[in-house]
Amino acid sequence: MLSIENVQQTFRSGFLMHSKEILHGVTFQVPKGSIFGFLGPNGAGKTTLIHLIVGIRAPTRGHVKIKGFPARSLEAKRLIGYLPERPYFQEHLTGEGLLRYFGSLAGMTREELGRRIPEALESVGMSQARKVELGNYSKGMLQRIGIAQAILHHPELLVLDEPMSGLDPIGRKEIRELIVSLARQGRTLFFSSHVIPDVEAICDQVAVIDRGKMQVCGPISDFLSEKSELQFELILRCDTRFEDLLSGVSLGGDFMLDGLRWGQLPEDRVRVVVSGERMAERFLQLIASESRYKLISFNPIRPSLESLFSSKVSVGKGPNELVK
Amino acid sequence: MSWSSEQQSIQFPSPSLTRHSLWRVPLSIAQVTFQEVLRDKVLTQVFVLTGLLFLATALAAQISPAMTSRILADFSWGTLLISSLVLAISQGAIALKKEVDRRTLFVVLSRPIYRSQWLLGKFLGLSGVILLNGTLFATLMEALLYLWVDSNSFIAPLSTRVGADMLVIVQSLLLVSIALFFSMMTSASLAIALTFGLYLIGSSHSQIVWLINQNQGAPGGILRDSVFLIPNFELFHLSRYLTYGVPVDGIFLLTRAAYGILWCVLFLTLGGFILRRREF
Repeated sequence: MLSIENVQQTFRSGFLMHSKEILHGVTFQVPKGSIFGFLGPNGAGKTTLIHLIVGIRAPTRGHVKIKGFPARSLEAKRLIGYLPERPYFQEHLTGEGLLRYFGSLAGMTREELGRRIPEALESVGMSQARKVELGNYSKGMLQRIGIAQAILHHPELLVLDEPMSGLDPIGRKEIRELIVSLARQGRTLFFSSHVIPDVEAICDQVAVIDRGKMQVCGPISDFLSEKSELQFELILRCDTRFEDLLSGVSLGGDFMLDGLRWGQLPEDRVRVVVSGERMAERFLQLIASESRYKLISFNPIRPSLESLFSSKVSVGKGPNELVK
Repeated sequence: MSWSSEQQSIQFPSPSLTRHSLWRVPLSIAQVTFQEVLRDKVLTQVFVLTGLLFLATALAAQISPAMTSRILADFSWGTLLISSLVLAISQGAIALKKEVDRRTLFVVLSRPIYRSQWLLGKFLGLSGVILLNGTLFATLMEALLYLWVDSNSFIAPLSTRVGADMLVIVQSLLLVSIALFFSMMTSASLAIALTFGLYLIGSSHSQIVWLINQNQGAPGGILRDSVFLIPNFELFHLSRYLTYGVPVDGIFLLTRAAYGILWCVLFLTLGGFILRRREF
């Protein structure tokens, strides 16, 4: 659906036109019908790449193609719906007026607009606010009407730049559900985020960019299965010191053992994290044999993208920051 | 809230659909621009200026009752000139910046439109505002003249008064196109300065030509030729015609209006050319 081939982007700024390379040979494909999460810290080059995809900029080198059409062509633009980061539309327009405006720019006829505007408003839950001026909309409402304008002309590819940015947890959940429902209709969704759980929750494909370089890209399941060992969390109630248990079984004298981490919780409870099924089994046997320790809960920890990102993204150097 | 969770597939439009009317996009952009600017600035400006004009005319009438009509005609033309000038240059120069700052331009440019259509839409929208501002103002002035001036007073003929107002409007359209042109390649503040500078030079066209003619050398020849590469704004100023009550005919007005429109087309074409290559 979307093909990015060796894309390089350089900005020139200042009086002497100093050049700064923002994207360094980025290459990846977005399969048709997928929900593609584009992750990266702030300043990684996500929005720049999105501007290339929607045809606002042209790459310095390389190609961006949508279904084989160059991204800046009118043919490619007919296939795209785009929501910018923190959208801010003309305040004097009503929700319906905004859709009419952007629909007409997409080449929709009066009849098509009359049919699709109520549909789009309904699908983002904004039918009630269609006559309200955008100046009176909340941030979440603006985000939703922004998505409505993006889906109005039935684009095959939806490009959403930080669609959950600035929303409260309920708003984020609603937008996540909306993205999933749009994908079920056969659309391809490409959205950027710097919030890992958002991507992890709904995407089937993921790419990570850092400082303009592609770090990883592919099906999200591949990255999660990369972790060879599962982790397990145990909550114990201890009548005695937890360290005694560890020293008693000669696991070692220090508290941070290879494959075992623990921390004290209130009310004589201890949280223990063990890595690997063998270690977990051994630890459970140990607890069962000791009457001073009572097992309260035992849960597998789902593999997460966090650790993968920590290893791929240079956090804490300059403006980059990932929200975990 | 519940999202629509139907799993039915939708019919996607073909990318090779027939291109819609070239005019529909600019007109949609023009309509939104017109509404936005009108809501923001114009009505307030017209009301404030009209109020000031009422006050000034009332004062002038007390100082010199015999000259009320002349003062009113001159003052109203001057006020229309200044208000249109400010409106045209400021709105034309900030049109692009405003849309970039709030990122609405990015959504617009992601649609299947030509960038020159956006520029044309902006020009048409701002032209609508200029036209409305000029028409409202001219109508109010005519009403004032009708109410305050007796038939024996000296006043320029109606054709001259209407023609002078019309050419101010044409001049403002030209200034909008120049401000838009400069804003395509520089900042809004610099675009304002450059447009105003060009207006000052163009308004002193005959003096510049006279000064150049004093020097008959080769550099003078190049300068004399190059001055014609700048629009002659003096052609739009009928202040002397108003002062002396010289009547003007349709051909006179139409040729000057056509001169202004041709310059508009030139600046918009150049602006569109630059915008097509501009990166945001």
